[in-house]
Amino acid sequence: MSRSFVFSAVVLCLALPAGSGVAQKMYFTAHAGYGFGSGTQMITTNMTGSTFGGEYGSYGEGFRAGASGQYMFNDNIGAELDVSYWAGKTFDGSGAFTQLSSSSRGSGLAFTPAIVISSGLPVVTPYAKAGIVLGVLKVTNEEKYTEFFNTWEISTDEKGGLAVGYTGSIGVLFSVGSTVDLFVEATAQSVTYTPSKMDYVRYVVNGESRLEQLPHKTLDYEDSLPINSDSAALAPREPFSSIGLTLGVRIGI
Amino acid sequence: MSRHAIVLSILLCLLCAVHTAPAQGSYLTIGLGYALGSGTQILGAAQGPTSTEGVYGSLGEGLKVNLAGGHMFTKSVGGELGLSYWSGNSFEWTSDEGSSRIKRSVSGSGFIFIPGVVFSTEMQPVAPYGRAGLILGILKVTDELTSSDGYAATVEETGGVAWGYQGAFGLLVSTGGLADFFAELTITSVTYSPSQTELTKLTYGGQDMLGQVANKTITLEESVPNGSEDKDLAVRRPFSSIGLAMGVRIPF
Repeated sequence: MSRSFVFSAVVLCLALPAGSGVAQKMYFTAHAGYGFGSGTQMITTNMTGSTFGGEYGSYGEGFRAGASGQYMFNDNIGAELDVSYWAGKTFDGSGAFTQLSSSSRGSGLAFTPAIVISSGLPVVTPYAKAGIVLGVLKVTNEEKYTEFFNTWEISTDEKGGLAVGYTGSIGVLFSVGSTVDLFVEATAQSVTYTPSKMDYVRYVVNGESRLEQLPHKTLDYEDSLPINSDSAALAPREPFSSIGLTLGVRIGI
Repeated sequence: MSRHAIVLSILLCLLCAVHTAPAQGSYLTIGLGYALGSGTQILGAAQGPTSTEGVYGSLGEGLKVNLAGGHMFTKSVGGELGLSYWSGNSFEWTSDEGSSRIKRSVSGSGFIFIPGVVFSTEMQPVAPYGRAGLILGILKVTDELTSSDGYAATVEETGGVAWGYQGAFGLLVSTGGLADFFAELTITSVTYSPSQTELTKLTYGGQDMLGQVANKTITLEESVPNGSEDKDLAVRRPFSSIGLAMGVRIPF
């Protein structure tokens, strides 16, 4: 990941000295939007008596809302720090023979430092943003299945670690007052989350909790692990990429 | 795909409505870049005698040759159509399976079309700019296998159109001459869902065995009948990347 940050830092360092104007200004924004999944992977499967299907998607699909502080060094270049909450949609899976039903969803907070490039046009102002996404994310899995007259209900949380990715936006600001603008922007986010562990949060057999009897309530995720390890598994890469529309308001301070 | 197209179309329509200045001319760019993988996924697992190691990566990592034509509608907003060839790095690993040692190599390559919108500042002589675009890719994934007991096989994943999007942030350095120079950071998010896999090579001890295989081509679909021999579940191959590109921009 550090190599990617070096790339970003090089361009940031080149860009910031270019700010030569004097129209410096601070803004606050509040926004909400919806992201459709991109960079999708197979999340789960659905099995019927005659077919076997994949459920493809990204945990980044869903509603999100947030706020940001923005500082324009001049009419064309600025910097922004955004904090957003992502509430991902739920992906359902099923299995025919064990009466399996499952669901998975992702959620969490994303911190996004970004560079803003504005056309500087009055009244209706196109702009673009590029930034790095740092996410404190979680994937929640629930499943219930029946085998030989016994029923299992299991819930797990995949969490830990920091998701890192990138975001790019193009948008348009509409001036509606001396210090107030409305904006609409298309935002593309490329984010992959590598959780560091999976916690069992519920393990019920025939209505009775067996959570305390599990030998390992936490499974560590590693990129490399010993053969026959029962407390670790190969780390997954959970897709959180999306492309979506965001509406918001920007207020000059 | 259609939902994403709608999202971008809305923005493009809004942007096109902003034309307030006369046209600022056309240009051609030629560039070369290198990208590191992002949006990585597990590509395989190297099974050793004492441990298992995941092989993670993106097939979009590698060299990229770029060509684009663009037109600035105003001093600030323009449109661009790019064509790029991606030559992806090979991901290689070795795995012990029973008494056999298997060596695998997976790589991706292909042509990419990138229609995009350009935002430029009017600064001189160094002008920061941003670009956002859709990606349509004709890609191929090549999976090669050789085993210590004499087998060698190659499987190619082809068909379908990869799609995604790209954002770029760069600096255009004006020379006052026939060509300007640019350097840009490019963020590309692409996932490729091939429509088929084809066994293109199978040998044992150097002898061609391909003719003995009944189903050389397997169709990849998101839902398949149970027990199907010529259909399998679709895969999503990661081609996302973040990279640096440099080149020249020739106005005309």
